[in-house]
Order: sequence, then structure tokens, then C-alpha cells
Amino acid sequence: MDPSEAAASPGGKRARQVVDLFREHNAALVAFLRTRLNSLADAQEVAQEVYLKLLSLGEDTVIDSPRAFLFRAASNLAVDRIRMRNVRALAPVDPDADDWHVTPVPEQHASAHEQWRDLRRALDELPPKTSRAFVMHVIDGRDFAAIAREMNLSERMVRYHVGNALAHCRERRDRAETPR
Amino acid sequence: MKPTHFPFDRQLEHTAADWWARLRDPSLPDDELVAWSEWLDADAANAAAYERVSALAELMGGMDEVNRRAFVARFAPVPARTAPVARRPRARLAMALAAGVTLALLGAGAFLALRPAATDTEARFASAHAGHRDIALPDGSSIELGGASSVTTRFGRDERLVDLDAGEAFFRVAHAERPFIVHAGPLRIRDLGTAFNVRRSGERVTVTVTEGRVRVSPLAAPNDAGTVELGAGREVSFDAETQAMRILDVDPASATAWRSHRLEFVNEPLASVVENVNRYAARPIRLQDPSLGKMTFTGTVEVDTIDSWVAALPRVFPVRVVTYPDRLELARQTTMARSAQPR
Repeated sequence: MDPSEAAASPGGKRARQVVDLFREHNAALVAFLRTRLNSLADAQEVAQEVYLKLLSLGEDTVIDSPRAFLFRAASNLAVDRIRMRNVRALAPVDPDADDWHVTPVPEQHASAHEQWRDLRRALDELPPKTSRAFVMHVIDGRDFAAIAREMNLSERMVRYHVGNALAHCRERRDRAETPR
Repeated sequence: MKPTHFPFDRQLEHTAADWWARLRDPSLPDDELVAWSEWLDADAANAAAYERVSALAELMGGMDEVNRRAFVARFAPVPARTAPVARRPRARLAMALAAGVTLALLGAGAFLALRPAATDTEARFASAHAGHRDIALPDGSSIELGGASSVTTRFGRDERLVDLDAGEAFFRVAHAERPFIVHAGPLRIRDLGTAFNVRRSGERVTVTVTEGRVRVSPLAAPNDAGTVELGAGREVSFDAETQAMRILDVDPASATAWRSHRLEFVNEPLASVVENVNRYAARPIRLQDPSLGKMTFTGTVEVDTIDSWVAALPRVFPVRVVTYPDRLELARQTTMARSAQPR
């Protein structure tokens, strides 16, 4: 759904405000949600939910900082989405559903091996704490607080290691991508 | 978007990755979020860099189960004291599905056009037992390997990396913009234009600078904490057990005496001395009692006459030598009688 189209029906001042907000910040909103959910597809879905939620707010709701309000609403809906994922995670695995992603697209499969190997090498070049924090967070999906406890570090340090490792992997990957 | 539109900007990529990590924190304050979105909107290059780090994080987060386990086992093994935690297979699946969609979207673009890094050339060099080996590196640097030693070199676009896998090596580094970095067990040694010697016995590493300066950091410390910078004539020993760096003034010639077939030690634990001597000894020397290894030794061992050095040890240490056809053993001397007993 394109926000500008949907705006036609509800009408009113609030709707115009929401439409403007989205027009201006849609890219940042999706980028933000993608970061929180680590999935672009989920981010796009949740961005739509945010849009609908804001439209449904009464005209009398005071929004003093629209951008902060937008992100806060998005943040709350992202938390709901993660909770939903976790509930699904507890459900017994449906073996049929698994087949969907193990059937490889051939060219994707060919590069997958090299891609993981290159990323493993990139991580090998980092100090052990850096690669460890990164793998625990990004690959194993554990939150900063849990990693901080296990590694006996502050959450700030965990975040620092994760950011460093990600930048390093990007750098290594850039070499593989850039034709020379 | 193709990465080639924006030449790789290390600083920008770091800023983007740092923002990504900060945004992952659910308790990030509103004003920081707003600051981030202002940064994102300020320049198309910022948005592009952010998109790249997000895509990479998403790709790695959506890793298949087999690879995920392998990465966790390699980089984040569960400590023995912690019970294994049940993971969330379905969430993984959802992420994998999402990643699949993203990959399909990006399919025609840069992400699948992957090749192995063409700039990194890896090479391994090893010397024979009791042998020496000179290695000329393509950048003009050279490595002289002591007995039973080995190194792996990985020369990339941004740095020249050498792993000292075992033993001892003398590095003479050709000056270049790319830093020359040696990893030796728990230590990282960064050359600042120079010649230096590195001796590794397991996790115990000694770095001696003969010319110029080097910077030595424990690999495990964050943020280069514990880094020391050494000039010529200085030596640092790192003991992984105590995480202590001991800095000494030394005669650089003694650290590299092995190059002329002599091993020189100053206050070196006997265990480390024996390990180093064994890289040259015809018959390996073993310590029957590990506590013997803690005694310290200062002196010179001629690699051609190791047996007579061993035979003389009972004169300075409370040990006796037990000779076997294939090895020499040092045992704690139990009686008051001390005697060298070459057989």
C-alpha cells in the first residue's frame, strides 16, 4: 500500500500529517525496522502496520515530535513482531515448511559456500572477543545484555565489538565485490 | 546500487556499522534515533553505506542451520560451565525465509557476484627440525625461520599479516604504507618500520626489537588495551597464564643469536627453554615433573652441542638426566648427591 494513495480516504488533518511524516521518513523508518528485525521483508510489513496505527489515532492525540513519535511507534510494533516470532519458535517444527528453504536456487547455492568461507576468514582476522560478540549477536541472535553477562563485559563494549566486526566484514566483502 | 558508485570509505563504513549496532539496542534513546535519521538523510552515501551493513547483517543473521552451528562453535563456543541453551529453530526459519527473499531481490546485483578475495595471497613456510630457512617476501621483507618453526603469510590490500604458528622467526620489514602485522599466539605485533625477533613456545611469546619500533598488543584485549611500544634493544615477554607483559632491556644480538646457532636466554622458564632447544635437539628433552619447568634459566645453548648442555644441567639445577634411546628426561633430584652422569 502506498501511503499517498491511502491518504485519500481518511482525509483530515491527522491523516495529512501522517502521510507527510511517511513521505519524509519512510526510508529511515524501513531502515530502522530492518535493523531491529534484521529482515527487510519483515521491516516492510511492520512499516505498514505503523502507518495504519498512526492513521487510526484520534485527531486529539498531541504529537509534539512527530519523528520521534514515528520511531517509538515502530519500535513498539517491532517488539511485538519479535515476540510473535518467538511464540512461533516454540511451536513444534513443521517438517514440510523446512523444505522451502533447503531447496537451493542453484546459483545462490554455488556462491553460498564461498560467501560463508570468506566471512569466516574475515572473522578469523579479528580479536577473539570481537568475533565472539558479533557471532553471538548477529548469527546466534542473542541480545546485548545476555552477551555482556556471558562475556563479562559492559553492553557498551559488546555493541562496540559488534559494530567493529560488522565494519570489518563489510570491508573484506567489498574487496570480493569490487571488480579490479 | 553498485558498491563501485561509492569508492570504499573505511570511515563511513565504520560509522554505518556503529550506528547499526547502536540501533540494535532496544533501549536506544529517542534523541539518538533522531540523530541517526538525520545522519542517514544527510547524504546518499550514508544511506547507501547503512544499506550495505544492514544487508550484510541480515544475510549473516539468516544463515542456514548447519553454517550457523559451525560459526557458533568456532567463534562463540558455549563455556563448559553453562548448560546449553535451547535455540529457536522457527525464528531461524523465518529469518532464513526473509533472507531468501532479500537475496532474490538483490540477486541480480552485487551480492551474488562473489569471488574469493583476489588480493589476499596466502602462503605457508616451515623449517625443518634443527634447520634454518630464509624467506624473501614479495614486498621486499624477509623472514628468517629458526628450527622447527612455521609461519603463514596473508598479504592483503590493507595489511601484511604473518602468523607465527610455532617456533621462532626474525623479521626484517620493508617499509610500506600497509602495516606489517605478526600474530603470535595471544599477541599481535605491529611493525612501525623495523627488524625484530619473535619467539613462541605455545602461548608464551617473546618479542625483541633490533631496529626501529614495534607495537605489541594482547589479541584478547579490546581496544588495543595493554598495548606496549618497544624500541630497539627492548624485549617484551608475554605470559598468557598471567596476562602479564614483562619488558626488559636486552642486547639485541643475544635475541637473534640463534641465527648463528646459539640460543640465548635471560630468566626464561626452563619449560620454555626446553621447548626452544627441542626445535634443534637430536633427542627431545622432556621434563618428568612439570614443576621443574618453572625454574628460570639464564645462559647460552649451542645448538651443535645440546647433549653436553643437558649433561651439565644437574650442576645448576636440582635435576638428574635420564637417558633413553629416543629422548632425554629431566627428573627432580631426590637425593642430596648431585652428579652429572653423561652416559
